[in-house]
Parts: sequence; structure tokens; C-alpha cells
Amino acid sequence: MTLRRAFDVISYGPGLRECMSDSSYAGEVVAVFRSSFYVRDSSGGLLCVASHTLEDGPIMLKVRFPTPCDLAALGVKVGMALLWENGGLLLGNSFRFDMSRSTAWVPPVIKTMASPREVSLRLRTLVRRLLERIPDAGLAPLLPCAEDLAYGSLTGISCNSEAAIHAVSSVRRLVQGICEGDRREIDVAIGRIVGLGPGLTPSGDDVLGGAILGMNAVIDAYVSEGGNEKIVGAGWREIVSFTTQSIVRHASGTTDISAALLRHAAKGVASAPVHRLLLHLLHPGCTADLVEGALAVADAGHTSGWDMLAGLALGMHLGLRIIDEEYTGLAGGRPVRSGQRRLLELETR
Amino acid sequence: MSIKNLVLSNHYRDSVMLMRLSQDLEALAGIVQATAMMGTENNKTLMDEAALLTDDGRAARPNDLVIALRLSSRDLETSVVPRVRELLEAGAAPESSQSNFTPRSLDGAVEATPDANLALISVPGPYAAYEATNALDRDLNVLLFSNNVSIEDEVALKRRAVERGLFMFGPDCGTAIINGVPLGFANHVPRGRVGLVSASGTGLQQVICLLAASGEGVSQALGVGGRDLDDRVGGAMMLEGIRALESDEDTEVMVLISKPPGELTRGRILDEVSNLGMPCVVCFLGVEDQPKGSPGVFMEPTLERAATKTLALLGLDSSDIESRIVPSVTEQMSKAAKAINRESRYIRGLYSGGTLCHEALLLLRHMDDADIYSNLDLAGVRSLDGAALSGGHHLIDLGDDVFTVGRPHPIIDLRERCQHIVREAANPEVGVLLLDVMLGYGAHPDPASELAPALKEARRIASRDERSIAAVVVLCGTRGDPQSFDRQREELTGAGAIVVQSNAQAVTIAAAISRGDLRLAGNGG
Repeated sequence: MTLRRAFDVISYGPGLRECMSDSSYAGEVVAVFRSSFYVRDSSGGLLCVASHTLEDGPIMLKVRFPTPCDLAALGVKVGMALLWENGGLLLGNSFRFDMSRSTAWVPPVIKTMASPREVSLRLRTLVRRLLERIPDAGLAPLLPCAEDLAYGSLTGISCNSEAAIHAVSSVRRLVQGICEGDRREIDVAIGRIVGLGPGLTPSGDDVLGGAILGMNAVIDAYVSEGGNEKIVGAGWREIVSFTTQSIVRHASGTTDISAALLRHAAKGVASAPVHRLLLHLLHPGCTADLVEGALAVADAGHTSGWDMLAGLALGMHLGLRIIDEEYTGLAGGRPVRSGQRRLLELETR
Repeated sequence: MSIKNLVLSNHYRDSVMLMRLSQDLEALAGIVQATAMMGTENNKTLMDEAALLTDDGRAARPNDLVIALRLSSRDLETSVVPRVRELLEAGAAPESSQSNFTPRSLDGAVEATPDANLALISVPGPYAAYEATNALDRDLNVLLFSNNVSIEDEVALKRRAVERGLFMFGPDCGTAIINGVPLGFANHVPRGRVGLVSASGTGLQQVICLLAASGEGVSQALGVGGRDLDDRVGGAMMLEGIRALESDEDTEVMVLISKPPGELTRGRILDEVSNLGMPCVVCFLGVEDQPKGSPGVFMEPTLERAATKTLALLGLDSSDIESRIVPSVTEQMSKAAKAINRESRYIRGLYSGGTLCHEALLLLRHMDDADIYSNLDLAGVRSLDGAALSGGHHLIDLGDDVFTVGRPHPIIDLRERCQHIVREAANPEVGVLLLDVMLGYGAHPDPASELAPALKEARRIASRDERSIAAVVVLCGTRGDPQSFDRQREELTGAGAIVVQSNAQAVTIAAAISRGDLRLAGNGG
């Protein structure tokens, strides 16, 4: 008889529910870090089993491991099997994860929204307050340019990150493609951004994930608030749906872990700090410290968090550009560009 | 040149590790450029455009880690692979070792050491204020080593600390010795009767090393961060430090150190020390005016004079410091002064300590009428940026943020300085190199091993051009420091450098050699 160490599962993200829909689930540990390990199943689905001290997320299964947590020292190894059995998970011959006291983590739904003007000001203020902290690596240098990128008015970028310099033209094409409803442009641009840059989750993926989350969050909140569904309705939904599907299609071009996160981003789910920040940026009564919220997002990987912030800012500005006809009346606002007019025409056709 | 790709199949490493791996690889001899990226098509395109991709790399898949190296020679291809694997394993090792546990968050650190009452925070500037606030909110005193923290954040943090009755040392606090425990860059000094509060890390180190050379030690040495005496911060932590030392039974003499403070703050600090129950030596660099009605306060304009005054107040002999220049140094100085041409007489001060550089500027400004350029902002000193740079002395603080973004402080990493030394040697105007070498905990483990070859190369270059170049080094350390003070001095002297312990002496010697006027150095004539 083997004695297994049992640990309680605290919470789990939507990714687990998808993986476990099949009661014969079987996966294998593919990477072990100090406080987390990744498991891949036969269909390529990924789970991240992590210490309860980490934040919730789409593929997270948070377990009350002893602290300080050192999973390698605990005996977790690459190649171990993770199996579903009787309401729990068995890892190798040594561990059992008890699900009986766990709860499903679900990101908050944002149903109310401050005015587009207010959201825009919050975004600008946040980016300004983060300016000196933004690293010159990965695609993080796109963060200060996100608004200009979203309005097609970026003339150039000055940074030392080759990935960022390389990505700018593709991001421009993506924005142009979305605003003009040009599917080919969207697809080509996404193909050039997926898997680009340093990191286990390459920077380009984080930007795309952030952009799609930011854009959807703004539009959804606007429509929930009673925004003009007719203007942002069918045409927008079609384009955003195409953009999302394009990202999912191209996800095979990046690492498995990044692909899993991209697929969840396409469904509107990211890590808990990202959802908190979106809530704080969008909610009408927000008094939270936005910088603190943004730094919590930035605190992922080397530049992954900053890349995600760049994507969020880009997506939110793009969403604001799309929804608000009155946006041009904003102090320091932008003229309605041909792409924007064409989008509106597209949506009212 | 040769390109080598290593492809590690299905290899997952976290982003921070991949970034560090690239940096560590580039530090290896023979590796000109290194990058470690996942093998996605877009990353392969990036590497291809940078001419870093081989057929091995082209075959990589998205889950494979590609390590691309540009080598200085094809011969290195075989030898470099085992080294790369060693680095990869070294990166993995701490993850599997319980005994090497390093907390990754303040929560983890508090959980691991629940009795701790001070948090030493050294994270990139953008995160520093956030972490420091968390630490203060947990009733922890804070030593904030990080720089690049805004002054608004500093004011808020120090206000928060005062409200909670805590110390907030820093930001940019490099040195402290608390209850005998060295923190940051600190020297091995005995426990003693001198309590110090300093807004300058290297200034503090200079004074405690000079005291230690005469046998006196430290009760407490509190670093408060370089901007504490800015009027916007108002000396918040220096005032707290003074109050703490005043009630410290082990402290008999108090020493305050700073670059020139803001006017309002200076007044506030001097008011605070005017009626202490012990003598107080104040070194606000360059400030000599004695405050009226404060007989127990002694203003000293240099770090060396602050040390000698402190020793005198304790009834100790300070002749080791005051003897100025020993005969062997006089001889070296005399030879150097005779050897350099008048056309190539200018000084290049390459400092790792900002305060020592500042002090050097003040002293040199009084000793020489030549133009002086620096990256430090000081009246009568011209900016190094965009100025006509010929015909003057240059004194550079290599610890300035401009030089430390993305790389360690020059007290730890000597590469930038060695490059400067060799570069300056080729300049026909340059006759004297002036350097500080900081020893102690946290500093480079063997600075002479890197500086001595650079100094020898500088002499070779000057000699090739039929010139002579002198090097004057202030060696700031003690015989208890881990680097071995005597061996460091020996190696630097062996490389032709004139080595002294006091920055003021070093500047005086450099100026004397530069002008060919040994009377400047007191007994040197």
C-alpha cells in the first residue's frame, strides 16, 4: 500500500473544468518551477498546479502546499502522471489533491462602465504614472504608445527592444485591419505577432491576449450599460469574433503554455490581477490605486506582465475608439479617421 | 566569428531565468552575443534577421528552447556547450534545494522569518515603493537599497515610517551597520563609540574605514539615502537617527555625513544637534561655517577631517591619517610628476562612489584653475554633456543612474570602469587616473584582479605613445574586509598605482602630479 501526501485544492480556473469534463483525465507533468508545475493532457490541454500563494487564473489549480513552497524538493518531477480518481487528483504515487473543499474561480463580469472619457483619462493617467517603470524589453515599450497605436497615429518607436521594433508594424496592421474590417490584414498581422519575443509566454502572445481582453471588456461593459448595441452590434461582433478566431488558429505557432493562455484570453479569461485592473479601469465608482493594480499585473515573468499591460491598453483604447462617437469631443481627442468611419459604416450596413 | 545554436527540446524555463541566462552567457569569454528564446516561427525570424540562426535553430519547434550564440572563434564551439549546460543547471539548482530557499515575496520572507524587524528591499525601482509600503505596514523597519524611486514616493514612505515609529533607510541606501550587522555595502569594522547617520553610502564607508585604521569602531551606522537632506524630504530620517543615537548608551560621539543639504534642512538638522548630550561632528561636504551657539558641534568640510576630528574628540591619535603621505608614496608621486608631460596632465577621476566624486570635485576646484567637467551637478563644474571636452579634468560618478540601468553598481561590476581606464589612456591629454576602490561586504570580491590589468594596459598604451600616465587610488576598506586589504593594495601598487586610504589625500596627490607642484601635497616637496 502506498501512502500519499494529501493536499487540499483551494480553487480552480475554468481550464480545469474543461480538462475534467472527461472523467478519464490523464496528464503528464511537463515543467516544474518552485511554486507551480504544468501538466499537459493527451489532447494538448494544460493545467498549472500552483501554490495557494499565487493568483487565480484560467488554467490554475491552487493547492495548499506547505510554505515556503519548493515543489522540486517536495518530490514533484517532470514525467509524473496526474490522474482523476474519485473526486480528486493523484500525482504519481506520492500525492493526492483533494477537491472536496475547493471552489471554482470565475472572473468578475463588468456590467457598469464609467464614461468613455473617464476611462480614457484613467488609462492615460495610469500610463503616465507607469512611464518611468516600463522596462525596455519584450513588447513593454509599446505601452506608452498604445493610444497612438490604437488611433493609427504612431509615427515611430524609440527603444532597444528588437522584438518591439519588429512588432510595431504588425500591431499597426492589426489595428488597421480591425478598424477597416479587413480580415486578411487581421490574420496576417496576428500571424506575425503570435510567438514573437522573449519568454516562456512570448511577448507577442501577451500583447495579443491583453488586446483582445481589453477590447472585449470595454465593448461588453459599454453594451451592458445600455450602450448603442446598434452601432457596436453586428459588424463589431463579426470583426471581433474573426480576430478572436484568428488568434486561436495561430496559437499553434507558439508554446503550449502560451497557446493555452491565449485560447482562454480569447474567451475573456486571464489571471485575477488582469481582471481586477480591468474592473478598476472601467467601473464608474473606482477609487482603487490603479498603479498598484497595474504593478500586480506587471509582476509576471520578466516582461510578460508588462507585455500584457501594453496589450490591455491597446485593446481598451481601440474599444473606446470604436464605441464612442462623442470621443472626438474629448480634450486632446482625436479626429475621426477614415478607418473609424468605415467601421461605423460597416456596422450599420 | 561563428554562430552556434543549441536546441533544447520541450524545455520550459521561466522568463526571468531565460533573461538571466542570456546575460550570463554574454559575460563569458568568447561569447560576443547570446539570446535564449522559444523556437516559434516569429522568434526564428528575429534570430535569422540578427544572423544568429543556424540549421539546428531553424529546425526548432515552438516548445523548444533555442540558445543562439555568436562566438569570437569557431574553436570555441566545442568548449562553450558544456559551459552553457552548466549555467542552465545552475539556474535550476536553487529550485530543487530546500536549504537554499529564497523568499520571492515579502509575505514569504515574513513567513520564513517571523521575528525579523527590518526588511532589506532591493528590487527594481518601479516596485520599490510598493514593497516598502507593505513592509512598513507590517511594522518592519525598512532599508531600501533600490534607486530610481521618485522623491514623492520617498516623502510618502518616510512620513509613513515616522507615523509608525519606524526607520525608513533609503531609497538608494547602500550602507548601514545596525547592532554590528553590516547591511548593503559595508566594511568589517569593530564595535565602538562612534554613532553615524549618513546620507551618503561611500562617505559613511570612508569615515568608518579611517576610524577603523586608527582602532576606533562604530556603535551604529545609519544610512538614510542620498536625498534625505533635500528640502522636500526635510531630513526626516536623519532627524530620527539623531534622536535614536542620542539615547544610545554605546554612542559617545555622533557623526553626520551628507553632500551639501537643502538650506531649510541644514538649519533644522543643526538645531537638532545644537544641544545634544555628546559632541557631534558634521561633515556636509564643503561646508565649514561653524554654527553659532553650538560649542559641541564641529563642522568639517571633508570626510578625512571628520574622521580626524572624531578621533581627537575620543582622545585618540589620528596621526596615521594626518601624516598625509608616507615616504614611499612621496617617492612614487615625485617620479610620476616628473614623468608626465605638461600637455598631458589632465586628471580622469573614475569613481564608483558619488560622494567621493563630489568631494574630489570640491577639493580639485580649490586646487586647480583648469576647467573641471563632471556628470555631477556642482557650481563651478561644467557638465560633461555636450560640452567642448578638451583641456580639462573629468570626474565621473559611474554609480550614476545613467551607468547603472540594467547593470550592477560599479562597486560590484568593474567592467565599465576598466573600459574607461583603457580608453582614457589613449587620450593624449590625460596624465592622471584617479580611482576609488571600495572593499567590504557586498562589493566586488577581488577588485584588484580586474583593475590591475586595466591599469597595466593603460600604462602600456601611454608608453607606446611615448607618454606617461599616473594612477592614484583611494582604497576604502579595512583589514577585516573579505577581499584582504593588504593584498588589494599590493596588487594595485604592483600595477603602478599610488594607493592611499583617504579620498582627500588621493585628490591632493592627483592634483600635485597634474600640476607638477608637489607642495600641494603638503610634505611632498
